[in-house]
Amino acid sequence: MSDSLLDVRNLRMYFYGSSQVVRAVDDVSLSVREGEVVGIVGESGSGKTATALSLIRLLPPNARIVSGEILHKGKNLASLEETELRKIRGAEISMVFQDPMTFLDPLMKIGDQISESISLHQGKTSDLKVKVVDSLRAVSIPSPEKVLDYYPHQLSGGMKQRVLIAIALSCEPSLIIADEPTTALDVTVQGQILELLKTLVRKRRGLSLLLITHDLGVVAEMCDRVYVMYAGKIVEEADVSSLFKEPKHPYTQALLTAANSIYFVGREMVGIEGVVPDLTNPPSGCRFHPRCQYAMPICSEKEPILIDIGTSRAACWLYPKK
Amino acid sequence: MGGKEPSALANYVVRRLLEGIPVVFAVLVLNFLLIALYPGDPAQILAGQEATPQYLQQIRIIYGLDRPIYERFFDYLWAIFHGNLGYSFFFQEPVTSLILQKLPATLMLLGTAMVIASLIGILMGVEAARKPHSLRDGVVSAVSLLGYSTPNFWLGQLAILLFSVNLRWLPVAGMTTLTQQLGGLAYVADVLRHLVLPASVLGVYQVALIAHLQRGSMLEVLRQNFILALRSKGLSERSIVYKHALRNAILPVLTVIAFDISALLGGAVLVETVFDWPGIGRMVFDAIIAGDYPVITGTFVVVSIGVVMVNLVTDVIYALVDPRIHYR
Repeated sequence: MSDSLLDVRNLRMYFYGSSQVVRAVDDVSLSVREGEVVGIVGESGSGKTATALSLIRLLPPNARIVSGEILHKGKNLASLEETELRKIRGAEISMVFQDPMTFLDPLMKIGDQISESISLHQGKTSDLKVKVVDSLRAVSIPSPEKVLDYYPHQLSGGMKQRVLIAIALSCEPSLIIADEPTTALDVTVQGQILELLKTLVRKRRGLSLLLITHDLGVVAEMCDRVYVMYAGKIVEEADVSSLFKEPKHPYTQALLTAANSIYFVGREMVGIEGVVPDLTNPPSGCRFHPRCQYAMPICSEKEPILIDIGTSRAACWLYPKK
Repeated sequence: MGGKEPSALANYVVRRLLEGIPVVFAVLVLNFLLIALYPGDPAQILAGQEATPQYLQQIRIIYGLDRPIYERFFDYLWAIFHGNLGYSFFFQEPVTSLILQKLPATLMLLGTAMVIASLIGILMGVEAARKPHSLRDGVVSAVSLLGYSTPNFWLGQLAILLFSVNLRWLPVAGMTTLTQQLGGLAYVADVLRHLVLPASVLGVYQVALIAHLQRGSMLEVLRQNFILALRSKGLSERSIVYKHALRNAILPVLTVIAFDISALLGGAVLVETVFDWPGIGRMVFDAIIAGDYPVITGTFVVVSIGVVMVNLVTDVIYALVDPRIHYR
């Protein structure tokens, strides 16, 4: 996978509590190629956000990357010095977060919040203001010269999310990690933000997007390739059309059934029985086996690994190794 | 809306100023009633037990005590508006000029204590919050608890014993060295040497209080989402803490600092007495001992207006720090 922009290998990230360890990211491997939109999909608590935050090590003090590599342009971010990593955050890899209401400094003008990033990574040049206005224009904010002097509370949620995207874009990164970027927004605004992200990736050469979401509709709309996460592990990887046409893993199938029951009027709502397991003490074998309708004896005994199944890859004992 | 900002702020300041007027008025009413409703006949107190009824009547007329209470109140207001706070029997001087003489010394003492204590307290609180439950945090908490619970008049005496009597580093009391005639820089240095101990003693409680509050408020802000977003921009921890988080975390601390200036005045009475500092506090202490009411109530009026002003200034600073306030 030489054309990978980001190559994550066997990443494990644990949270250390006072008496227990939460294995939030457990042996995750994934890659993002240049210009690609990759989705990570899963329920709440599946480790999607923990994975996203691990990639640029934005972790709380009680979290630790236990093992694995995060390769980006020849550097292993998992072991990079903090000062070196700071040069990558915001410049090479930037993030867009879930709730735009709370992710901007409430006491700083919009323009200053954008120029802060640019001057940090590119120095204070004389055309700083032009760059700031340009990045606001790039996310289709009307009258950007005026918005520079606004404070976050003067903007709507959708506008704030545009500002956060402008900040993420301002230093022309190669990868944007968007963690549920539309979840906190009104439905009408959600579409606009997704459209914006899609256009940006298409227009800017070399820009890739890693999209974290629980919404399969968003995945279908946006992604080229998808990883399905369950209980800290990747259970399936597929290109988007294969995923929706022929989901391989029973968990993916259950997710799709549940999602379809919501999207199509007249169908009875279906959920997945049970809850996401406690990651301090995950089930043995395949972590999905307690909720899986196809569970066999082996499922609770041995952990399945990801294997190629047609164009997809899945970790499930239903598919015998060739 | 960029151009609208200064006028919005100006409106806010004017509004807050107008709101201060009823407060000052209430203080004056209260102050007047305090004297007017004081039990006993003031004429009797002034004239003494042996006075004849004619003499009592004469005193009532001289001091206007025979007139109805509301007329006396308007006289009182009139006098205050003309800067007349009464006459001190004990010091044999108008109260206004007494206060004007003593005020600079107190302002210097309070100002020094407040500014230095705020800076140290804020710094301690921030540094403690950056690494909660670390050794550094523990030390700050312990120092804070100790400072919070040490009475300053006692600390003052200990400080005099240690630094002035035993080590002889600093003067025992007063504001200047009386035995020498100093001019220019030497005079300033002399005053500063005298200022060190009382200002430090007065500031200890403030450092403790501010450090404690700043720690709590900083911890709260550091948990907020936008801190994570700032990290994702590649900012260093130091600029996140001092450029962004502190500005967000300082507002509740500012409120308490302003609120505490009045409490600090109470502390100043004790500290000025212990250190024989020639300020308002020392004067009030003498006035209380001598039963010199015009001085006590006059000081009360001046201090009340001062507190109202401090609160106004705080509100303006608040609005400058947090744009959400005056935009509403």
